[in-house]
Amino acid sequence: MPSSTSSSDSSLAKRSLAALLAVFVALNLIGLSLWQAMPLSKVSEQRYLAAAKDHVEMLRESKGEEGRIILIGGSGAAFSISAERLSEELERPVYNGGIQAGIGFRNLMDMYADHLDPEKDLIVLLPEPELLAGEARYSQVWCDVVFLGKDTERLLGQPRCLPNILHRTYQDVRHHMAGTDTVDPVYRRSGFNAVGDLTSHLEIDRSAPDFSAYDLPNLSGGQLTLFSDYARTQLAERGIDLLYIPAAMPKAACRRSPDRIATMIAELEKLTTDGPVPAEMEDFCLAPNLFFDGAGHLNKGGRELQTANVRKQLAAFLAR
Amino acid sequence: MLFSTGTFWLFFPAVLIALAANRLTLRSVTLQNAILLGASYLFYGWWDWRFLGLIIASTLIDYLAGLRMERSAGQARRRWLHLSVFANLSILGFFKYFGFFASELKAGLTAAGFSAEWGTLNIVLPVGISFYTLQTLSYSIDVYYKRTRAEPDLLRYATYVAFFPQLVAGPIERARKLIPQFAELAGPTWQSLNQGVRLVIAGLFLKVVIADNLAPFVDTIFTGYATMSGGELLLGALYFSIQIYADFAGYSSIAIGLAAMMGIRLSTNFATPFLASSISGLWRGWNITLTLFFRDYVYAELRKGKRSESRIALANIATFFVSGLWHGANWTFILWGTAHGVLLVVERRWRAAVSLDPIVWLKLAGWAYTFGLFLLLSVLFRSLDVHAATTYLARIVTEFSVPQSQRYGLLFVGLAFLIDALWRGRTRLDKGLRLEWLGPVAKEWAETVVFSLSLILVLINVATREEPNAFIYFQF
Repeated sequence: MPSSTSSSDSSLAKRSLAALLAVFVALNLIGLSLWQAMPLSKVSEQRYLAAAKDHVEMLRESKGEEGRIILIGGSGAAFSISAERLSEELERPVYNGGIQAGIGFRNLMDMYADHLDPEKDLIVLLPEPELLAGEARYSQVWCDVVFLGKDTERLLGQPRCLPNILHRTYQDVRHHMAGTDTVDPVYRRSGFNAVGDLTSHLEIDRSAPDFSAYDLPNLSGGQLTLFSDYARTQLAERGIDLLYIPAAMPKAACRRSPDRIATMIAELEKLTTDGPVPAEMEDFCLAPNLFFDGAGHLNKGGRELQTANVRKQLAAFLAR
Repeated sequence: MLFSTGTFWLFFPAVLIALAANRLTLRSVTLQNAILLGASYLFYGWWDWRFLGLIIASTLIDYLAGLRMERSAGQARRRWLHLSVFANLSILGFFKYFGFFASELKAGLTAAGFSAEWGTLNIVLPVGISFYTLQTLSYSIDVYYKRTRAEPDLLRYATYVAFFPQLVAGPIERARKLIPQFAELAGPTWQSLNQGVRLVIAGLFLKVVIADNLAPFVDTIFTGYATMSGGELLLGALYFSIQIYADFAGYSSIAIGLAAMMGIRLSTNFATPFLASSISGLWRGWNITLTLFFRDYVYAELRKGKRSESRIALANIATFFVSGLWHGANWTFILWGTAHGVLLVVERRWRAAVSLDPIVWLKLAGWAYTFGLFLLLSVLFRSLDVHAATTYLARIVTEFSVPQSQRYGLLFVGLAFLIDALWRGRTRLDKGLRLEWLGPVAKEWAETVVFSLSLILVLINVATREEPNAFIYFQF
């Protein structure tokens, strides 16, 4: 590069760089102001992930209820377990806190943290392997939750979400301008009931998904540790009772990776307060016709079976 | 380590800080080169540390050959050149062409009725080998012809071979231009920083916003070409031409920008080739440093002392044949290169008779034929084999209808041409974009807004994509 430049060239270049930075910051601020000021479009209001706000509200309102049970998982928990039925059968308040694995377990629990009651709550951990494998503080799904919640505090905690938020804001401007209001018939906020179960898929008949090529994600020790450490330090050490119950899995995956599953369960069982409640793994390995889709979500029949499995484990835990 | 990933943007500021610390305290050229070499090896080893051995071997061979050539004369001097050329071409030949020639030989022997039963080696092509091999070759040849002095400082020479911004996909730098810059303390100025930042943003925009957004269209069309209409296939060829341009020009722009931020000046590698109104004009603006390499080290050798038109034509075609082969061990690349050579020869004859420049509509016609032919030949470049390419090209005609799908990609084509129009003749941004008509103050503000918006779009595209796409030219 030229070894010497005139001072006017230098100051021009300095000014130019400073202007570039200033305009970049200003444009981001304009985008953020628009995000805060503009109401969410109908599409965003009804997005599946917008249910995160409802879940937080549900836990806030029910805080303090005696013997409250909160189910925690990803979309597997939301689709595949009926908190409503469990509540009737166990005669205790049960809420389904599962939404989507992509949010990340730690992010999800941070959202719920203020509304947990160490004295009265039992948290049932039902993590599907995908939730464990994808555990990260930053994800596009998490940024969407921040966007839908207009949550500036969480954005400051995860500034990497800024481009995602600007992108969603731009999309919302387009939705407003085009008047779009179409939402997915299954993945929608209104598909959840009052206790957090997703019910929009129950009346839809689909053929059994093909699990011939499906395999569980390979979990490294590090991913399991992230999950366990958080559960131990942020939940168990706060005095919250924990119970681990395996998530439902396709039979093919159980057959293909028995060792991987055994390792995962052995590690997660240690989280259960006062020791594991042994589970019959066979019960949680389900036939393809019990699944709603290839993402491991159960259909109506599968959901009944898995809810019964969870009830059995819960009853054993509560009887101790 | 890709330029468009977070890892790189943790790595690069660390290198800048280390260089700045050295500049502000010790002011040691040796330490500066050690930092650059260490960073370059780390950058390269991030892909596969085992291939570092190849770069180091190539560096040592050419370093030694260069010194020996300088100290000897006659036959001995030539022997050292031959050793260097042989070593470089052997490394390149083994990793890049062994599989191709082995399978072609097997097919030939089988067709001739001989038994040819041997297994195939799955040889992985080391990233960037095609680029740094040419760079070291050019050094040896230049030393042999006394166009440059042999570099006695091994650290300086190794830094020249491995300098990370241009290591894996060029620009291919000549020793006489780059090595002297490592002989002194690199001095980034506010101007070079400003230019560097803007070149990096422009490059990232070309790569992340244009090339990567066109990639899914290209993949869909070239995968499903057997069922697509002719109009969609034509769009596929258009999208691929723009994709490969934006990808490679984007890489070059980032490389030049990063080097500028460190105070090192690299050569311009693209100069709005798609605005050219002749094939020769297009090649003067496309992968310029590679084109100059082939001109100076292949074409010049082939036509040495020969002035006949046929000899020149043959040298042209042979040079582009080699260029095609350099791009990949596949008949599609060889045909692509050779076809460009033939076009250049035809154009040369024709241009001798007709001058396009003063007449606007003829210039436009020249642009249409140049871009149109590049676009059609790009089908050879992208297709898996010649049969697929010819079927693709035939279907453009036989199945032609107005495209009903895949049209959204035209947005990115428009953006690419807009960038070229704003950049025409000013790839280094020394004078900024072509916005003088706004007046000096408004021009400055307009440029600032354009680059800021571009950076925001880059970040949005990176954030909303699951996996970063590798640069296409890494595979060559």
